[in-house]
Amino acid sequence: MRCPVCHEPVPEEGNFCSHCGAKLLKIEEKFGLNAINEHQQRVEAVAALLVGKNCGACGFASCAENAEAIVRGTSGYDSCVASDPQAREKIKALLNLEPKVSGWALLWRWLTSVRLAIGLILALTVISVVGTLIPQNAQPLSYIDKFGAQGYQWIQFLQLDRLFQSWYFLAFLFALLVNTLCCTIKRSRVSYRLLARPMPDRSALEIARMDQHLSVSLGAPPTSDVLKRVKGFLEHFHYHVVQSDARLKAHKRRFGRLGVDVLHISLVVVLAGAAAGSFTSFEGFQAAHQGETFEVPQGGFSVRVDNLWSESYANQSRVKDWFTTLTVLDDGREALTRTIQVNQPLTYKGVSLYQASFGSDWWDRGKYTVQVIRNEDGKDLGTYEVDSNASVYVPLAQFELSYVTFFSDFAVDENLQSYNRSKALNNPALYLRLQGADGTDKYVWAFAQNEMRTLYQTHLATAQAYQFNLVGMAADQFTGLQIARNPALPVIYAGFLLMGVGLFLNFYWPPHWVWVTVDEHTLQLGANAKDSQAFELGLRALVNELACRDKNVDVQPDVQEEVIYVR
Amino acid sequence: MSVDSTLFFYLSTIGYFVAFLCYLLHATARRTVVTEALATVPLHADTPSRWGRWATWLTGTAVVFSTLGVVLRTLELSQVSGWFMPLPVSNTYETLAFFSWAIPALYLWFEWRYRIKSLGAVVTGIAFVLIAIASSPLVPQDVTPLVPALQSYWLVAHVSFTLVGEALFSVAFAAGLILLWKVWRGTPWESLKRFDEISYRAVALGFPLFSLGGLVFGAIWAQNAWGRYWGWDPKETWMLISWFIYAIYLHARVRWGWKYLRATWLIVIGYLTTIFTWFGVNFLLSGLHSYG
Repeated sequence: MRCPVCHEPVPEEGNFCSHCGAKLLKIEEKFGLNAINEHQQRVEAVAALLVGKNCGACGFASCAENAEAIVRGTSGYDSCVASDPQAREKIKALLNLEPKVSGWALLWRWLTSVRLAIGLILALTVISVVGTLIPQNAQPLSYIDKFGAQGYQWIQFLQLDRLFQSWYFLAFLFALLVNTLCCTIKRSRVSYRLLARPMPDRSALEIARMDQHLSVSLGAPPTSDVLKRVKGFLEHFHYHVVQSDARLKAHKRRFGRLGVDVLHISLVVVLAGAAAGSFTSFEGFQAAHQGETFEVPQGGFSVRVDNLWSESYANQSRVKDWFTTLTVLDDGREALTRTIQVNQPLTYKGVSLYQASFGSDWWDRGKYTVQVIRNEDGKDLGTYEVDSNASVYVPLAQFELSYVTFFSDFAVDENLQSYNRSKALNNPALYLRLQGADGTDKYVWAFAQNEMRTLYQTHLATAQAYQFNLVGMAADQFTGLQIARNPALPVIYAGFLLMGVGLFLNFYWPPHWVWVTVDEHTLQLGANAKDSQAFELGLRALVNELACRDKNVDVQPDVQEEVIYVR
Repeated sequence: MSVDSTLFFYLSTIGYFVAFLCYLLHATARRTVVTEALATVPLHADTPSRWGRWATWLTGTAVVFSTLGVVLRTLELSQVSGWFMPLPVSNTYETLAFFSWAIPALYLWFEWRYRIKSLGAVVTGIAFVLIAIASSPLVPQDVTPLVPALQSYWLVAHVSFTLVGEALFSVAFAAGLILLWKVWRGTPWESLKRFDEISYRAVALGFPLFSLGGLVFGAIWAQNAWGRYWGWDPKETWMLISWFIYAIYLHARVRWGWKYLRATWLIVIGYLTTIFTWFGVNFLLSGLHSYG
């Protein structure tokens, strides 16, 4: 418990304060258990139990305000960060005597509580972890394959395959949004008062209880000179100082106070933008060849592909960039022509077209040259053009060749099943169907690489009458375009901008509020600054400054130590 | 080319390792001196030792090597790509090298500001392990021209801000580890205050960079490259998870007054998730972030 007069901690059982000698009144004694019915008395009783640093960590501008809110029910009995467990229990006991707290006050307290915020963030964290462990939006078969049919039923029931769109994830997110909004309303009201009104006065006792605190013994009777020098010192460090009698009030970077408010508003804006976007946005994909025109129904216009090309780095096969020249046709009129590349989309009527992929259309637009050799005598029967869509007749051998599939990077897995390893032309292979005039129907591979041809002939397709070599291939190129529209994007970007401002203000622009009083013997300086280390170094400089200039100023070393290191 | 960026990164690898040894010697040498003098020596001054001074100088030198490496790598990269990437952050090797440059560089500021050397062993240890992994045969060190998606200033901002934020989280983690170690050894609470404060300051400095780099710039880049600012890709999601944990830490610290052990555990968990976001996701989960 704390002494009601000097607020120093005192042992529970004593009758007098060991610091100032004041008579200690137990709360029950002071107010009388049954007599505590006046609102103001209760507020005073709670205020007496709070630490009195006026640090503002509870969200209120002063301890008195928090005491008032605690009695009303809008602030928790444990809302004071600095109070010890005993004091909290006493406040709780006091509140139990409260006849009636309005339900709205309790609801407001719950909605603005950090406990709710942290609980919701924890829930979202856990869901997010699960969402990365279970593949999202995959095919039902892949879930059944992994988790079994029973497991898949559970996954469907709990919406684990689309967790981030599940009703409960969105509900938690919405609750966090409401929580953030309520906290911001509550906090920004205090911010407004702190910034719009002059700094409140603080007594010498209150100053002595602050987080950063300095007390300097003055050898000589106090002069306005001391105060003037402290003022000069503070102004040197860009404080705005107001002097009245033997007091100074100073502040700097006070708009940093708005950091938390702006940051939380920005999160609300971004989430609101994301929610709006989820109803109004769309995403699509379009692959197109040169000269083709396709519709963009969501934008009410069509797009013609004028040109498409790929650039590689000199002497390397690595792609430098992909380009597509697009012309937007609006009502049959050419509205816009632009070349897009990766990271540089085109936007028309709110719809953006992104260069997403690029490649050769081997499967629909491929043209392959196949050389046919008769194994019997090694005779070259000539080369034939096989098209993705048409077959070709080989008269000398009397069969028809047709395209089945094409692998750009032929590989064989451990079960001797062939598959396409990549889209790169590392090991091109053409799968052909042979339909003979005599009714035979066979499938063969034609390879481009010599080693593969030999391997195929000697190991995989022995005793074949003919050998097929892939000697040439070409395909039309296609451009892969991501098409997206998100009308809420400006809202989200505005939120991002606010987030930047809020982060800067809160973390790199910390506000300082300083109070100074001088009485007969001591100069008291106190502040509640978040970056205490920086502030303490400043205080030390102040002490040096005062000590150097004035022989009468005597800084007690123990006080200095205590101030600089312990608090 | 005989003088290239990898050479300087090799030199910094050696530098960080020797600095790590010196910091360890400093820590062990100091202990015997301080225990009896603890009561009178002001907490502010870290009792200087010969090893400590050497360690700081070595770290500084290694940071200079790293800086040279980063600058050279930038030049090499733009030479090969024909596009000026202001910081080399295009693949695993470069991001690791950049990270192992940022951590000790930022740490030196903390060492000077708080006059403390006990974090040095952890910090240079982390930097050494990362640059050693990068310089090992596990990671290709070639300067490769940039693929199309990476040619964006938003990407550079995304990676560099995130990494500098995470470098500050590394300093916080180092302070947290030392704090846990001292608690385990039964050191009195008063002498732990500085570690608690350093870890808080490091998180408070790193969190805005991490948020801007990871969430904002990453989203803008994704929007420019793929037309979607957020896609619940495993890497994005894990980045959000670590952001959540550091957000919880900041709230618990400011509003609940969490300090010392509880706060430190949050920092340790948060740091492990950022590391998992970086490496674990690459190896265990797949997604769009397959660059490094």
